[in-house]
Amino acid sequence: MRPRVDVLVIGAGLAGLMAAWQAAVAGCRVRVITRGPGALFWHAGCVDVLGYAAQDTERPVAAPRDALLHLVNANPAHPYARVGLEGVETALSALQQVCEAAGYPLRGDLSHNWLLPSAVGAFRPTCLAPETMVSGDLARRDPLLIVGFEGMLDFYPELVADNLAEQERPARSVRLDLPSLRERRQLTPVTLAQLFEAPEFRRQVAEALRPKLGRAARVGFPAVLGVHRPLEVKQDLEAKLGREVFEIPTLPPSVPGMRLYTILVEAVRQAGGDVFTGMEAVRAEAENGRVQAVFTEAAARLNPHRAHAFVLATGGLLGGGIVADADGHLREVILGLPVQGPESQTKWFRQEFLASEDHPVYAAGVAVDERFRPVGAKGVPLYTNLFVAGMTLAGDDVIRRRALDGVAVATGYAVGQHAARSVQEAMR
Amino acid sequence: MNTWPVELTLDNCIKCTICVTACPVAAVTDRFPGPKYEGPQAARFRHAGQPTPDHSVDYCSGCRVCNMVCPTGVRIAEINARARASMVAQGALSWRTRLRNNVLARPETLGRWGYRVAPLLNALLHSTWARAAAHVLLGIDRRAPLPTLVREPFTMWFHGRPTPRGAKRRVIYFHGCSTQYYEPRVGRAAVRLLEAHGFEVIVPPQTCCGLPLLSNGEFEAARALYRDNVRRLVGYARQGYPIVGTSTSCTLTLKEEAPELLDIHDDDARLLAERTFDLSEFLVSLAEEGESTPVDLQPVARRALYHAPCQYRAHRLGAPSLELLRRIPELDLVESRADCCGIAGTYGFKREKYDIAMRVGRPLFDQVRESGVSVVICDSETCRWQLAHATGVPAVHPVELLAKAYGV
Amino acid sequence: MRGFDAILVEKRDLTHGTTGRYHGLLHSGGRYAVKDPQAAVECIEENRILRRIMPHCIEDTGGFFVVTPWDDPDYVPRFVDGCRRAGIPVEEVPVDQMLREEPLLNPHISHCFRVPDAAADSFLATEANAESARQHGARIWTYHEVTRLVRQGDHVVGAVCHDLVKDEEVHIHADLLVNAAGAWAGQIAAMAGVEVNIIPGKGVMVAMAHRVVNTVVNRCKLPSDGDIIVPIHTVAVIGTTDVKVSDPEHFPIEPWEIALMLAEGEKLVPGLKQMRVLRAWAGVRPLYQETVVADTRDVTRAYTLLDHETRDGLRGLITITGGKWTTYRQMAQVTVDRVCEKFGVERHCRTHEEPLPGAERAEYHWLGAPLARVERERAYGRLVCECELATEEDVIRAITEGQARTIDDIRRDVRLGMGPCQGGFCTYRAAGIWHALRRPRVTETNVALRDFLQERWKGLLPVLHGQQLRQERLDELIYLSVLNADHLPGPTVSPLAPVMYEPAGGTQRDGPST
Repeated sequence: MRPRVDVLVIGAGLAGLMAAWQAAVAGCRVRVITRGPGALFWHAGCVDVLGYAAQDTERPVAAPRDALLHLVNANPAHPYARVGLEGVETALSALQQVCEAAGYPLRGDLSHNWLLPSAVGAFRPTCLAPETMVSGDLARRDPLLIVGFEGMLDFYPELVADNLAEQERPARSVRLDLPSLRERRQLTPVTLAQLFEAPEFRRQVAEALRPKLGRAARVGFPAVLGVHRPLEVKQDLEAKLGREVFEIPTLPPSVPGMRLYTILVEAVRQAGGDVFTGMEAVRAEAENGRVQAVFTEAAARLNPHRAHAFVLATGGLLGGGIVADADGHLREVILGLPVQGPESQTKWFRQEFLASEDHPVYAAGVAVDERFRPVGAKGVPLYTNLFVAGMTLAGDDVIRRRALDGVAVATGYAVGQHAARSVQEAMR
Repeated sequence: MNTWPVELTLDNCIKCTICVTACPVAAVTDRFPGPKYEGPQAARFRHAGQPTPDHSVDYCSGCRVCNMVCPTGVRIAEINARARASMVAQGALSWRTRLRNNVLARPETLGRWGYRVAPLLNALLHSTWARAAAHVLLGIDRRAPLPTLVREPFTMWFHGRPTPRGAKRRVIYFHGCSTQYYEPRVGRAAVRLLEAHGFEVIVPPQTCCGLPLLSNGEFEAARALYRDNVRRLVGYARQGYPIVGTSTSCTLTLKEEAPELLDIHDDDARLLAERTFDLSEFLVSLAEEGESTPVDLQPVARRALYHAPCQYRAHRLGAPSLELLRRIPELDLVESRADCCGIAGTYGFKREKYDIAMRVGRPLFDQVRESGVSVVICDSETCRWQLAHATGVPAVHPVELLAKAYGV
Repeated sequence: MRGFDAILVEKRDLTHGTTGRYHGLLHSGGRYAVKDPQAAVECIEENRILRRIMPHCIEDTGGFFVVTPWDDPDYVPRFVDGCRRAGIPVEEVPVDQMLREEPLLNPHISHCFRVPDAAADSFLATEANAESARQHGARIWTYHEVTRLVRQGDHVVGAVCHDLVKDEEVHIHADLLVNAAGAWAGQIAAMAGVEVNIIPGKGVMVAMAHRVVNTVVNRCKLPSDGDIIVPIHTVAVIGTTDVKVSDPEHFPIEPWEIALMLAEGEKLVPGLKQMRVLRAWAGVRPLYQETVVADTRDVTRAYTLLDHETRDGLRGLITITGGKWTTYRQMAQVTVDRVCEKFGVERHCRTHEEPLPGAERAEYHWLGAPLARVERERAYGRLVCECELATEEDVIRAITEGQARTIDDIRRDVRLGMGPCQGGFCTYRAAGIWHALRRPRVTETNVALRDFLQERWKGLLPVLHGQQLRQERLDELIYLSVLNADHLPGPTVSPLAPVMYEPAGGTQRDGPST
C-alpha cells in the first residue's frame, strides 16, 4: 500500500508541531495526529529555555547561552547537547519568525532570560516571551499595578502585588467589579479573552481602571487579553490608559499557549500538512527495521497511518506517551520502546513536592542517537525512520529546569529536518 | 472496541480544561457549565440508585467536540448522554418535553406514514400556524429548519428501477431516514457512484439507527431499533459484505454510539460495527488498496465550502471526504474553520435551545457568507439543513458533487 | 451538656489525628461478630444512635459481607450466628441481586449478606460535635499542644500547652483532666508519670478516584488486611493494614501495603488495579492492652476507661482509650459518667437523645447532594475546588467564620483539594482567596500554599503511577513552571504544617496477619 503521507507526527505539542512544520516546509506531505492538544494549553505561552541550572537551583539563569554551553559540555546525552547550541539558536529564531509573521512576536534571545511576574508574584525566568508580556520585566523597578477581576477565580492580584512588593518592586493591586461580568455565571480565562476582543468591553475596563492608576507606570492583567488579536487589545488598552500594559500567565487553560498552538497549526496547514485531533495512537507495525504504520483508535476499528518517516512527540509522562504502571514499570505506549529511568520505583521521588533537585522519574524517557532515533541497549537505532522529540526524550526533568519549551522547540525542529531527510533517502 | 463502561473513563481526567476551551455550547451560554463539569466531575456524584442531581447536563448538545480534544481520552459526550438517559428514565423531564423529544427523535415514523400525503403534510407542517402551535404547545422552535417530505421515498426509486448487470462485488447501502424520506437525491448519487465502482448495491429492509432517540435519552426505544437493525444486517456482515452509509451519524451509531451507550457488546453487534463504513471512508479505502477511480473526473467549476460535521469527525478517521473532494478538477474548495454548526441532531430544533444552536453556528455561518461560496458541502443531514437555513446557501452531501464529477 | 466548665485542647486542627485518617465506616458490628462480640454489640448500639443524632454526617450505603473464592465458606454460619447474637440485622442477598446493585463486584462471589453498615464523614461529624459543645459553653482550642501536665503531689491540677499559632505558652488549671488523646494517650499519661500501654496500630488506606461501589463491601471472614471497601463521598477507600509502630506520628507507608490493598481490592472488584488511585494515608489505632501482645489484630476493639486514682493512686486524671470511631459517643458517655461520679453530681447523659447541629432536617447525606446544591444555586462557575465542588462561598466562610489556620483546615471543612487533582488547581485559588481576605504578610500566605502542596504530596507519594502520576506532572507544571511557587519569598515550611510520613522502605512485612 502506498503511504498517503511522507511524515506522520504523533503529538501536537510544541515539539510535534515544530517537527511537522519543519518537515512540511522541507517539502514533505505531513500529517499530525494527536489525541488532544497538549502542554501548550497548560503552560505559560512563553519559551523557557533554561531557567534554573542543576548546579544552582536558587538563582535563575541570567544568560541561557552560557548556561547551555555548560550543560551541553557536562551532559552530552542531554537533548540540548544532541541539538547543539547553534541548533537551539536556529530553532528558536525559526519559531520567532513564524510568530512574527502571524503578528504575534516573541521577544528575547539566548543572551538573557526575562524575569516576569508569575500569577503568585514570583520572578519567573523565561527566554522568549510574547510582546504582550514583556512590559512586566522585573529588571525594571518602575511601579506596577496588578489588575484582577471580581468573579475570576484563576487570578489573585493581591497575591501578585504583595509578593512583588516583598521583593522590592513597587506594586499595588486592584480588583475590578464590572457590571457586565456580574451577569456571567462563569468566568474562565477563555471567556474573558473573548470579552477582551470586544472594544466595548475594553472601554469598560479602561474606564473603571483609570481613576485607580495612581503612580503606576505599567498595568498587569491576567493573560486573557484576547485569543485572536492580542496585540490589538494590548495597544488599545495602552492608548486608553496611557500606561504600558502586560499579561501575566495563570492556571490552565493558557490563553497565550492557545495562541501559539493556533499559530503553529496554521503554519503546518499553510505548508500543506494536516492536523487531526481525537486520534489516539495505540500501536505500530514495523518491518526490516522500519516503522511501516501507526494505528489509531477509531470508531469500531484501528485506523492505519502509513508513512515514510514517523515522529514520536507524545509528551512523556505528562503527555501520556510514557506511562508508569502500578508495578513500577515505565512503558512507552505506542511502540514499546525501552524507557531509560530509575531502576526501582522507590527511587522515583524525593520527599518534598517542591524539592529543588529533580524527582528522578521525571528525567525518564527514550534514549536516542545523534539523529534522535530511539536506541537499544547497545546504542544502535531500533528503527531507521522513527524520530523522537520533546518530553518523551530521556535526560532531564525539563519542568524543574524550566526548559520544557526550549527542549520541545529545539528537538522538534531538529527532528523535523531529520525526518525530512529520511524521507528523501527513502525516495531515492 | 473497549467494553469498559464509558463512565470509568472519568478516571483519565486530569482537569486540564482543554475541553472547556473547545466546547461550542459553553462558549455561548451560561446554562451549560461545560464538559469538564458535566462529564468527569459530575459523574463522580451520580449514583444509579439515587435521584439525578444535575439537570444542566441536558444542555449538552452531544457534538463530541470535547471528546475530540481531550488529551486523556475521557468519553465526555457518552458520559453526558448516559446521564441524560438517567434523567429521562427517572422522569426528570416534563411529559411535554418528553413528548416533544419523541416527536423529533422519530423521523421514520413521520416519514413512513407521511410520504403518501407529502404535499398536504408539507403544507400543513410548514404553515405558520402549525409552526406556532408546535412552538407553543410542544416546544419545537418555529424558526427551526424542518425538512420537506418527498413523495417518492428513496427505496421506492431504488426498487423501481432495473437492476444493473455485470457487477462482480456487492455492497450493502444503509440509507438512513433522511435519505429515505427527505433527501433521496443523496441515496441516488451514492448508488450510482458505487455502481460506477463496479458494485452491486443491495438495500435491505432497515430501520432508523436510533441516534435521535439516544441523544434524547430514550435508550429503551433506541435499543429496540438498534437490535432490529443488527438482526436485519448482521447476516450481510457475516458474509463479508461492507455496509456503507451516507448519513455519517447513522454509520457512527452502528459502529460505536449504540453498542457503547446501550452496553451491547455481543458478537453480532461487534461484527456489524466492524463491517460498517462511512461512504467516503469506504471510497478512500478502495483507493488505498490501489484501486483507481473508474472514470476520469469531470470538472465541477464551483466555489464550495466543506464543513466536516461533528459526527463525521467522531469516526476519528481524518478527512476522507475532503480527500475525495480535492480530486475534483476546478472545484474551488474552502475548508470550514468551525467545529460545529450548532444543530446537533434534534438539539437546535428545541425552543429553549434554538438560539444557543444558532449562536454556536455563527462563526461557520459567517465564514460561509464571507467566503462567497455557491454551495456548502457537509456529510450530515441536519447540519445541511441548519447551514442552508442560516445562510441561504444550498447544502449538499459530498457524494452529490462526486456523482457530478463521475458523470453519473 | 452536664454543666461542667470544659476546655478541649488539640495539638493541631480537630480530626488531625486518627479521626481524620480512617476509612469512614460506620460499623454495623458485623466485622466483629465472630472475633470480638463485645465490640460488635457496642457498634450496633452506637450505629443506631448515630443515625439518629447526626444523619447528615452519614450516608446510608448499607453494607455487604461477601464470600469470595478466597474465603472460607465455613465462616459463613459463624458470621450469621454472631450477627444474630449481637443483635445485628443480617439478610442474605442473592448474588444476581448483588450484581444488579453493584455491577463491578466479582461475579464469582458465592454469598452476600446485607448489614446496616454505613459511611460517615468524620470531619463533619467532629465539627457538629464541637459546635454542639460550644453551644453548651465548652471552649475548644486547636493548635494547642500539651507540653506538660502540672502535678501537685498525687494530684494532676492542670496542663501547660504550646499555642502553635501565637508561639506562646498557655497554662490551664483544671480540677480534672481527661486524657482522650487516642494513640497519643500513652504520651500524655507519661507526662503525669503513669504508664498507659497504647499500641499504635498503623492502618494504611488507599482511596480510589471514584466510588467503584456504592455499598460498603466487606469480605466475609475474620478481619484482615485489605478486606473492606468503603464508599465515602466521591471516593472508595480500601482498608486496611495493621502494623504495630513505635511512634503514632512518625511512620512510613510501605509499598507492600499499597500493593496488598490493591491486590485484595482486585479480589472484590476485578479490574480495580487498572483504575485510578487517588491517594493513600495511614492512621494509628489507639489499641490498649494491659499486657503486651504480638499481633495487634488480636487486641480488642472495645474501649477502656482508666481511672488513674484507683489504678495508679493519681487523682485528677482519667484516660479513655481503645474503641473505634463508631463508639466514640459511648466512650464519651462513660467518661463523663465517671467525671460526674468523681464530682459527686448526678446528671444524666443526653448525647444519645439530642440531635447534633446540622441534623435538623433528619436526612441522611447522599452522594449527589453537593452537585444538586451547586445546580440549585447555579454555582458551577464559582467552584474553587472543581473536583469536590467547594464553592468560593464555602471557602470564604471557612476562612472568615471557621477556625481555619491553614489551607489544610479549609480542606477539612469543605473537602478542598480532596478530589482527583489533589489541589492542582484549588491550592492556588484557596491561597489567593485567603490572601485577599486576610491580607497577612505575604510570606505567611506563601508558606500556607507550600504547606498544603506538601500535605497533598505526602499522600500521593506512595501511590504515584498511572493517571495520578500524569496529574501530578501537570500540577508540577503549574506550580513550578507557570507559577514558580518554589521561588517565592519566605520560609519554605511552617510550624503548623502537617507531619510528613517517614520515607518508605524501612520495614518489611512481618508476615501475613490473615
